[in-house]
Amino acid sequence: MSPKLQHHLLKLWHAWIAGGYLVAYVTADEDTYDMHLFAGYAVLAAIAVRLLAGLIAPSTSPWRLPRPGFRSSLAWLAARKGRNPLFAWFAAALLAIIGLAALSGAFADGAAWLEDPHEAVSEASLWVIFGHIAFVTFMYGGKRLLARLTDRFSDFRPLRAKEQSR
Amino acid sequence: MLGKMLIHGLVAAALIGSAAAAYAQAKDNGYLPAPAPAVQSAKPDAAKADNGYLRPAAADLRGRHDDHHDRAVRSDRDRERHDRKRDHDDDDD
Repeated sequence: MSPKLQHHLLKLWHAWIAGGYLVAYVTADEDTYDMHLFAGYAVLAAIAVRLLAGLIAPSTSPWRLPRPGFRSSLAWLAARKGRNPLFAWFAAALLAIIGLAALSGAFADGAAWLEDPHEAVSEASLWVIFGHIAFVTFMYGGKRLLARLTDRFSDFRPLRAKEQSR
Repeated sequence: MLGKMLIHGLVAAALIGSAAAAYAQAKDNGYLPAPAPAVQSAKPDAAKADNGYLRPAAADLRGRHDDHHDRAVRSDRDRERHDRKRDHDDDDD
């Protein structure tokens, strides 16, 4: 399978889990319980597929499971070379917390006492997702925007110096 | 790239949401199998025994009543929580 196709499939998987999570979160109410159940199982299936694919994928594949490490992260901080380790940390955290939310939800369907823990984990997972969105937005768009803003600000400095000298 | 991924996610949400709504509707209409036996066995035997009471139709037994019973069995705390929500909506402010 070509790397391009693997990346496309990974994006498709990302859409699957993101869409399922969104539907599950929005329908987390007694009145839309059946929809919530369906979406929750869709998320659980996506996690299962990701884990399975991650275990059988070759080491160079983007489907390989993220393996963040403290030593590699510290090495990156010292040298600032290579891929930012936060990508792997966020991926691992997201798989873990969303997987836990989906799994606890599946069990909560039969065991009412798990409803509150399921809700707590799901609320916590939303914050991890916000962090992930903020991080990728910064890495893929925010850095350029920040550079443009700082350039504009630095353009104003010579003008101020001229006005002061008059 | 991020914009495209956002759109992909929304499209996936629309697809999954539609499938989920179809599933919920099918379950309400009784097209899907009945829920777990533990819920069904909670139904009183009056439905089966001929004791002079009127017997509701089989479709009614499997239909919305089971859903309401499921919700009651699932968690009364949740119902109270949502009732509290509705109470806020009913406040005359």
